[in-house]
Amino acid sequence: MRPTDRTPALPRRRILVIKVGVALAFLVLVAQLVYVQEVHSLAYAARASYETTQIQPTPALRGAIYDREGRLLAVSVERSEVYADTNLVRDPASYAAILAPLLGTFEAALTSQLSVKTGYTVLARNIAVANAQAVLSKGLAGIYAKPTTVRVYPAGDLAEPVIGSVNTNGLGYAGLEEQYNAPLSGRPGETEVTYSPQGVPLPQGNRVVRSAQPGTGLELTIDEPLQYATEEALAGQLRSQGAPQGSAIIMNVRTGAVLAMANLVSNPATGVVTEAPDNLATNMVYEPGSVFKLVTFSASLADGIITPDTPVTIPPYIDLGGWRFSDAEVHGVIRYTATQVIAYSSNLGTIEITGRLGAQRLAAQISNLGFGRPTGLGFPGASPGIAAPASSWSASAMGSTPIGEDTGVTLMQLTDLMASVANGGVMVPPRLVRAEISPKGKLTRPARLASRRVMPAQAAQELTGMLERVVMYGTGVEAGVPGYNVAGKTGTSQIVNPNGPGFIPGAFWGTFCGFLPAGDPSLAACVVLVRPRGDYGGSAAAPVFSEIMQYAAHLFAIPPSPPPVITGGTSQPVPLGWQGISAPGVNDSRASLRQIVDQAVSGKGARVD
Amino acid sequence: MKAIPPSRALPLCVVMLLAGGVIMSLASSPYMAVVLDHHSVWYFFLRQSAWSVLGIVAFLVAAWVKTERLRKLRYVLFVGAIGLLVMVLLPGFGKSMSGSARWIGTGSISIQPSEVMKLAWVIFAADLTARRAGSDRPAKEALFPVVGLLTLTGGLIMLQPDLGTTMVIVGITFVLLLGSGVRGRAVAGTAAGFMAAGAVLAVAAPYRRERLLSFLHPFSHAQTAGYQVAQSLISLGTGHTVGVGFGQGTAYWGFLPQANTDFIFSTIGQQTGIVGALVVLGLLAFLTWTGFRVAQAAPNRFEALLALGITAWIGGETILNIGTSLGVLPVTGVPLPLISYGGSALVATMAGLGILYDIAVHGERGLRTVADGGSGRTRAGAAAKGTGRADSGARSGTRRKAAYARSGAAVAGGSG
Repeated sequence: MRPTDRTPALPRRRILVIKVGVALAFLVLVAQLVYVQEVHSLAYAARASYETTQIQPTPALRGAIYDREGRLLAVSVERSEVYADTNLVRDPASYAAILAPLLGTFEAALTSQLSVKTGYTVLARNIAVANAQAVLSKGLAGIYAKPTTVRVYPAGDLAEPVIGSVNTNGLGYAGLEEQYNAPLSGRPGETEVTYSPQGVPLPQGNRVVRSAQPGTGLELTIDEPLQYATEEALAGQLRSQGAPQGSAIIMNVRTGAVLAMANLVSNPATGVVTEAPDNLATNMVYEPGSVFKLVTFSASLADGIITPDTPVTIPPYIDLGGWRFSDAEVHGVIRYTATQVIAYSSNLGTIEITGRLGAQRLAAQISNLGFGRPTGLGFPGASPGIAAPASSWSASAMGSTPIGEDTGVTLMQLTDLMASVANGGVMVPPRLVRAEISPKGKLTRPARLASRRVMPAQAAQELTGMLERVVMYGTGVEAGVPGYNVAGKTGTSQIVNPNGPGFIPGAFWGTFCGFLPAGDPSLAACVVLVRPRGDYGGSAAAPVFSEIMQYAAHLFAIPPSPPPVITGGTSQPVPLGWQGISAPGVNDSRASLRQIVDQAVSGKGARVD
Repeated sequence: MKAIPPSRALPLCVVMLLAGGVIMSLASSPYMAVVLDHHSVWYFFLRQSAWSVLGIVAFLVAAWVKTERLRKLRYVLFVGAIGLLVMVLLPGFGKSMSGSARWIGTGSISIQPSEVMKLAWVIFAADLTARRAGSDRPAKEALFPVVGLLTLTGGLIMLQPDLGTTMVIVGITFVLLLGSGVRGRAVAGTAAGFMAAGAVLAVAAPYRRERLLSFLHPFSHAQTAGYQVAQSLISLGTGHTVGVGFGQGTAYWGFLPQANTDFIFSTIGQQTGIVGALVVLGLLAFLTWTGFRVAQAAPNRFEALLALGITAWIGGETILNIGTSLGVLPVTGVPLPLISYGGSALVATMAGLGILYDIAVHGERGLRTVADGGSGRTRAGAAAKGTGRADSGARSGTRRKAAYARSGAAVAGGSG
């Protein structure tokens, strides 16, 4: 018999059991729902943000760099970077047709870029913000734009070794851009971005945590036109002298402000001059030669060992520690005044005076004048130079050190020395930054380093008079600036052979350092040429000094010097001694003779009594 | 409490859940539609809408087809479903996704035979238990064929493997066995046997064992086996009371796996908060309760058990799905009825609800026939619109008691 199902109703107790079971299950669900969504919800929600968000920086506009008159030297401009998530790009060809004109790229190149399904792909960098907005307005899926900035140098590569540069990430990696990177950079903003596990930023997931704060601007002590004139003058001399490198500094002796700092390299074969890869003025260490004689003279004048008129008996040569020191030209026993010793740059006369001074005093004065010590400029890569303590000096050091053959210096240090003589014996630390300009335009003058006296005012004044003679009739006549009394000193030193013992034959550093106007100095300048033609580098650098100082004197409207009235009978240009019997190559002395004669005949320039 | 009749409550409930499902598919699927390379953010929404239309058609057809005809078709349906399940396992027919072969078909149209089997099995098992089970009959008469065929069916589904569907089918079967009056001890013994088998299966597959262990402490395994549940709880937590808004929230942006299918409840909870979650949970609970009402008011034993089976299907899937989303049950992969994206499940569920509706109508017709002497439709309407609510409520209570006692005979006589 077939089983039947005629019993219609279900067993009620059984159904009740099932119902109660189902009801209990639903109650458990409700209870758990209340726990998850109400009681414990914040703890769960906290895990969500922890797992999925990331802080993204938004770029801050980098601060601008101005010259002392507010002329723009470096400025950052807002640009955009357009990129694609190629996985979301459906039709590369039609995308490329729309994007190519806006991005300024080739359609074919874009098509192939968009066809590679690698995800994040940069399509164009540094495009105008308006173009990026036009791209976004097309509403193409997978095409995005983000703000970037680009660094622009309106003056081209002018003063590039000083200003420096930024890398592709906008970080300063050389020069002032590096030194002042922190204030220039400002503070990038922060945006919290939420990503999907597939790495797609969520449309509702952006939250600005902090907006970007633009960087601080810098007002430099550099004067753009003067910088340009300095670089032009230096470049011209590099070409005509066939010198591969050169550097020049102009500085305000009262404030320490560096008004121009030129660093150039030249290809002697082609004569093409470009900006140096490095700030030679602060970073290149070399032996200064005769400019260093100021160390002996400043100390001797300060200690009263000599006066400008003290007679010095100069032998034909001096033997020290197995080395024979001589002057540039052979001479017998001659007598010079101290002034003549420096004016004619006599090595032996300087060594004689240094003998009276003593090694300890000389070493103390080297350090006192800032050699072997940082200048306080803090420039990236700046060298303190090399100054050995007296205790480690060789037996011949009392011959070589006073004439600038042992101590490694930078052009900046020589400029400091010259400026402190000009400034009455007070050394003012050099400065390149005049003010920091906040994003809102507020100017802040950076704290100045303390000035210090490095020689008595009397010594500085006497030394100034002696240095005037260098330009008047000594080795530096080519540094003369019409209408101004110039004080200065030449320096020529042989370049050490880096590949072996001794020196490179015929290779010199040629330096000229000086200041004007001698009666009331305001500007100091130093010029160095590496490997100029000829035997006397100092006379190669002097014309650059003359040219740039003439420009600077006019630019800053410095009153011309009154006709000089030089007192003291012994400060005469004659007798010329060995300087008169010149040999080939002694162009310093021949030039000085010509100058004196010219001045005497024409009645212009410095009057010499 | 005067409840609205199941024949009205059920369609209303179904339409609301269906609409909710379509809306939530739009609010939960655009991102995955693009990520899965469907080329349109509308992909899942449009398909879910189309499936919903198809589901309504299935509902109407199932409601129109007489239950007796379905009963006669039970072998065709069951054998056909078994055939489909075998096809899934054959290379060349079956389609594999995330480690299990559950689909057959090509291109964008594919069906899930295990969903067809749910429908076929509920009809087949209802018939079997209606004929063979009863408190006055030996338990083995019903148990042997039921358990045998259940083992065959469940085994085929476990070969895919699909633990969730197996659990639903086993659950339906035990509710039917209980409801049909088979001796309790025998049912309990069989259930213990299946539980032991389930335990062995769960421990045998390493991924299932991990899920089982991880569901207790999802955040200790947040990057591995517990990831889904951890993300589900995070989604619900961020939803809090009123939610983050439609289409808002981060869950469906690839964080919550199956955000528009198995874990849609968590998406709802995130976007509409506990308010929306309780509405969905409430509607499904109401649907389940209505199902019990239909089963208990059914005019004959087969329809009563069929209604009970369909109710167990809806209620079971609801409990398994939401329990998984809330982290109180291990992850087994069961859709939320009428809401989860998925054509086969939606159409099968709608067909089942269509049958349930038909039985509800039968039951109500029977009640009225008895209470109102054959012209009840007009009177019942008048009573519902009547002025004295308390009065009509009291009377309807007495009517129902009488109806339970007689309806079976009345309808049995009517249907011949």
